[in-house]
Amino acid sequence: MKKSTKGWIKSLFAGTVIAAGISVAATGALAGETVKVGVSLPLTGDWAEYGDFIKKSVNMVINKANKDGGVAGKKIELVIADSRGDPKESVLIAQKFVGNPEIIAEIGDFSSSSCMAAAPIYEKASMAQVSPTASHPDFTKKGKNMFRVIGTQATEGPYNAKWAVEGFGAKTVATVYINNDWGVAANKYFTQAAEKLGAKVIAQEAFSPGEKDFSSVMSKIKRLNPDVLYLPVFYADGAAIMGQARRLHYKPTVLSTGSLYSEKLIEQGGKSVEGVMTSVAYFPSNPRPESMAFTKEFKATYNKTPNMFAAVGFDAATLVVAALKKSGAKDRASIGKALEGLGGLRGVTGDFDYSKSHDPVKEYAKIIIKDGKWVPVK
Amino acid sequence: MLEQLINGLTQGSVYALLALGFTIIFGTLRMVTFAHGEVFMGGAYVGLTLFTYLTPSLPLALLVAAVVTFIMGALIEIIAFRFLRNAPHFSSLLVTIGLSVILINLAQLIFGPETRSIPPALIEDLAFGEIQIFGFYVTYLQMAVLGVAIAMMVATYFFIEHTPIGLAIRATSQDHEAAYAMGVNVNRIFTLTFAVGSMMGGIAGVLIGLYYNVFYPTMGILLGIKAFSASVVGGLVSMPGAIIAGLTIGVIESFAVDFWNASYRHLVAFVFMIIILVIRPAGIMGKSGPMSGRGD
Repeated sequence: MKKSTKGWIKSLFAGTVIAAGISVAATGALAGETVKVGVSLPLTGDWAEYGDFIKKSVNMVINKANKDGGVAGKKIELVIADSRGDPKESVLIAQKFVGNPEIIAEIGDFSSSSCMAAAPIYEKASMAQVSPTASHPDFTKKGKNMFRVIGTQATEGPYNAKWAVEGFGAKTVATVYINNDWGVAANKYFTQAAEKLGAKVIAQEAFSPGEKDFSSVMSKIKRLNPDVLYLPVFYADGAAIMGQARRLHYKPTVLSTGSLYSEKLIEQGGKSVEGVMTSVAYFPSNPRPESMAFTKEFKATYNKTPNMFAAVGFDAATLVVAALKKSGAKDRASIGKALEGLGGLRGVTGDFDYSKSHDPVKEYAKIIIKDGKWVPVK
Repeated sequence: MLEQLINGLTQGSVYALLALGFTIIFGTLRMVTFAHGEVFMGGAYVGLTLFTYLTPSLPLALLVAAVVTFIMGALIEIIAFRFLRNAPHFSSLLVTIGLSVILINLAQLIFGPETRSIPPALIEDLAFGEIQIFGFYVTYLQMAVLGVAIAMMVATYFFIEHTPIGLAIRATSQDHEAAYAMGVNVNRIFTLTFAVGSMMGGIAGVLIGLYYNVFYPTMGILLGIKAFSASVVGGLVSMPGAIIAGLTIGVIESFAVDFWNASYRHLVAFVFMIIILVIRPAGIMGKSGPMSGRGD
């Protein structure tokens, strides 16, 4: 009896070793051919257009890298997941990516809320989360594997505040912002800077995601009549806000975060969004050589003019490919270190040096909607 | 301030129209439907489809949406209520919740989960054409929303009070068995009432969809809850009560945004409703009204 138990344990042990051996061999064989990168983006829902532009650029970069021989002799394979702009969904995707040993880095997500919700999971797995767009200042504080491509609200907000107060001589400003992590931060950094510059903040109106009735709030803003109205919102809400303002015969001077830089805003807003202004880290007519090369390549590939979201998506993928090459695409932890060691990579939307901070410094261009088109502010 | 009043009345008339649908349905069937907001959403998407792909005509959109949501309502009544006539009330309630989820998912499949809008050029005249009244601008669409809502309310009142079918509906609402004994086809009256109530939801959908030019699958959820609450506050079986409550809630929301902050509008609306119900548990018009019956 005793002997047979021992034998049973022995054979179980042997079995485990064999099984483990097989699984190691299997990963080894696969890793020899491909290295996988997870992509988590909103591909359906209200932020689908943003996600689509980023995805297009990421695909373009990866396809090119593979054509040029891949990284460390391996082909890069993307695992793309749709987070629908829902932080809960991003968390599930993060768990799925982390649970797949073949995935060694991640590009995404779109919103700060999504990235920050998923951050602890990626951080625990030492997997780099490279977000093209998360601009909440706290995002990169969530761990040493969090990287962003875009500038933070802590720089974009004050930049726009300066534009409002010094550029337009605004004595009073008001904001209407979306009530989520990102919107609250965007509102905070703009209003704080505007006050510091001497303007008076006469209204700060938050609306819940999903709200579509802005008539009452725009009536109020119209009555208060601020010199500049600041809108940290996304295109679907932006179009609704401006349409309902127009119905009230209210034509405010509108500045917004770069989030409004979208063709969809013009498509949905029509005449109502004429004159809306924003500042962006990329614009198709940017004279920066990297920008010009990117614009040309994107147009040739997709027969479509890229926007800022395509540009930051391009930079995110370029950074990840560079880190994969530098680290030899060995394991997850090496990617974050490689990103920090890239040192002054010249991207489309600026230079990237993550050695001291994971928040890149940006230069902004001012743009405005004129005759149904985004054009640079003269 | 007058501008806020107009904003509030426009929004409130839509609440009222939806609340009226709840009231007619509850008044007759003595049952609540939780798919009403999704019927509203269905009506809105009918408007979107017709305007975008066929022709931007408001009367046509209203007519087609009315027919479509009338049929939707009849089907919901047959599935959720007629089949379950002898089952506990909870079963029907659950089926309407299930149907609302199915309808939302169906809309996501057909129209996509994103917010859609009619190309602005197509509704330019309707949404931004306007007349001036006492120095205030009122757009054609705003007038259409208010006008259609009022016309629907009057027509429903006339239909219930002054037609033979209305008489049968009132008889059924007072006593199902007695009406049946007097030769009223109670099943048919139930389906008809439900269909008419749903039709009002569908018309509200077209109006509000066009007014904001924003269409998305879950657009009926919060509005459905608001309208149901308005109908409860109004007394649940009282048509004037539903209208008064709907309009009041719309106006209160508008003023709440103005005096306080945009993010508190729903809070203020529901706090108001709770206060009303605490003071008058049966609602504003709970005790009387044309549809009030014996109760269960």
